[in-house]
Amino acid sequence: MGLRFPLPMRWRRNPSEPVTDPKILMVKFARSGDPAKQQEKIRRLVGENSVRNADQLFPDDSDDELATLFEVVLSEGASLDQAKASLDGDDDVEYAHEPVERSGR
Amino acid sequence: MSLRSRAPLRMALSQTSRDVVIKLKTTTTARRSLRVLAGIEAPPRGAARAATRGAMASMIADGRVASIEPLFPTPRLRRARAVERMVLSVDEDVQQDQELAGLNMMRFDSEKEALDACGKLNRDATIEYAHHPEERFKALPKRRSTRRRRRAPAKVDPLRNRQWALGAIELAKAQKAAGFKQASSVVVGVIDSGIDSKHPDLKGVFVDEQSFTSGPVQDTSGHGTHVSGIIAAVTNNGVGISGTCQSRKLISLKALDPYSASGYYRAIRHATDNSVQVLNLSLGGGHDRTEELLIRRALRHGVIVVAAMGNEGSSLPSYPAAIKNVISVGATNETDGLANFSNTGRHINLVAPGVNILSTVPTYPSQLAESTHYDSWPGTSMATPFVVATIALLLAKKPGATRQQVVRALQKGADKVGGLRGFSTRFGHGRLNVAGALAQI
Repeated sequence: MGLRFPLPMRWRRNPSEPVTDPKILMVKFARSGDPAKQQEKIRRLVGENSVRNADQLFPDDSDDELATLFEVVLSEGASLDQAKASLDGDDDVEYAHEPVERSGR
Repeated sequence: MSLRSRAPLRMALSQTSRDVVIKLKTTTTARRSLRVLAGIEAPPRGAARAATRGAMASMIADGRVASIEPLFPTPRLRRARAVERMVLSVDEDVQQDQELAGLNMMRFDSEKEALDACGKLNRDATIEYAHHPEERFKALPKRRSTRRRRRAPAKVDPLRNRQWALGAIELAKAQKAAGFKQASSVVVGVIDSGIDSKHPDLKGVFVDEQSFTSGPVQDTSGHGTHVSGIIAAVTNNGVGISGTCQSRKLISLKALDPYSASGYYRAIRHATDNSVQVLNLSLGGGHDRTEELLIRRALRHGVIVVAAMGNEGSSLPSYPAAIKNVISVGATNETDGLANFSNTGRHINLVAPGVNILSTVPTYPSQLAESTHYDSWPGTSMATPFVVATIALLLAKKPGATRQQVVRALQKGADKVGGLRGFSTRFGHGRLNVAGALAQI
């Protein structure tokens, strides 16, 4: 027991380091819609071969705010920046971002 | 055989474990047999002799029965001899209430004898049934004594004297103040690395624990167990440390170690949708839009969200602490100075003890703990649960208090440390004071 250096400095990789393995994007559509069609749109925008999975984060939720959230797992070799740019450029997409790691402080 | 000549039955003993309840048969033959047993009627010929040869007769004859009493005696019966009372009660009861007819209580010298007798009495031709009433009697609610009971002395938590922080935030003073209520029913959510639910100082504290990661519910790093102990370790149980509030409704939602972004988001939603009143987020990092969306949703649903300022010693914002309306907490040391690692910024609300904080760690080896069971750690992670526990106490004192009322009480009740006047980006509105906060609500 005793005073030690604050936990994160020896525990965390980097405070703002994004999760990179596997490459994941969180995508939110601006409006509610048919989840299957929204999923299809993600695949079309990013490229069919670049998407491993595009699943609703809360498939059981009818709340528009949550029902429009998708977790997109990119295939190996796919470019995260390119996928993000493709999604961000579409009017139906409110945002696309890499999740930022959280760690104990 | 008549019992008239036998010595009177002995005084009844008080313990119900020695009792056997019997229900005598109310048929004409059985009643005649019983009258013979009691010596009221002449010995019969034929079937009615059964009573005089039965188990009950031999027990009475051998002096093994301490007493026999009708369960519902009438005044006339009280004047009769014991065995007569029993027999006559059948006749009286039959006239009044068939269901209660023939109910008697036999008392024996020991519980063993009573249990032995039960089996034999159930084979007696004059007895409908016999049973041992001990458990049923124990199930009755105890009558409250009108005399004032002495409370058993509280068992002092042996490590309490090493919890300097509880003195600094004046928890004992708060507990003695008028209107103080323990936060046993306030639902507190902890999104962290899980907990060691088998920790002796966290027994009965958690009502729900779930893992939103790919790992088990078990806390492998120790962080979540440490945070939870600061909030609600069982107080005065003679074990380890004291918690700050006594919430018995903690919900542990594991989203760290290993970290899962989608799991973390789902944990926030779970807390929001499952009645969590105050949410402890001893975690942080860079800005994350989906986290912000879910935290805002939680705030809209009335969850009071409390987050650690971060440990980089920096003025760069850490999230979720920097999200608007999240109560953000920095760390102080034993001399009320700002801990050298505590982040600063305009979004800080207040500071709380966050250096050398003794709390629970898993009972098995874990990644961050240098020992098992208890360890002292620094961090704004450790300061945050003191504020969370204080909010639970505020909600216990004033159920339905709004986030704004809670924030106002925390900030107005805080101690102005470090030469603070008003607000500073280092100390916020001051160092947490539980007594001060509770006095404000």
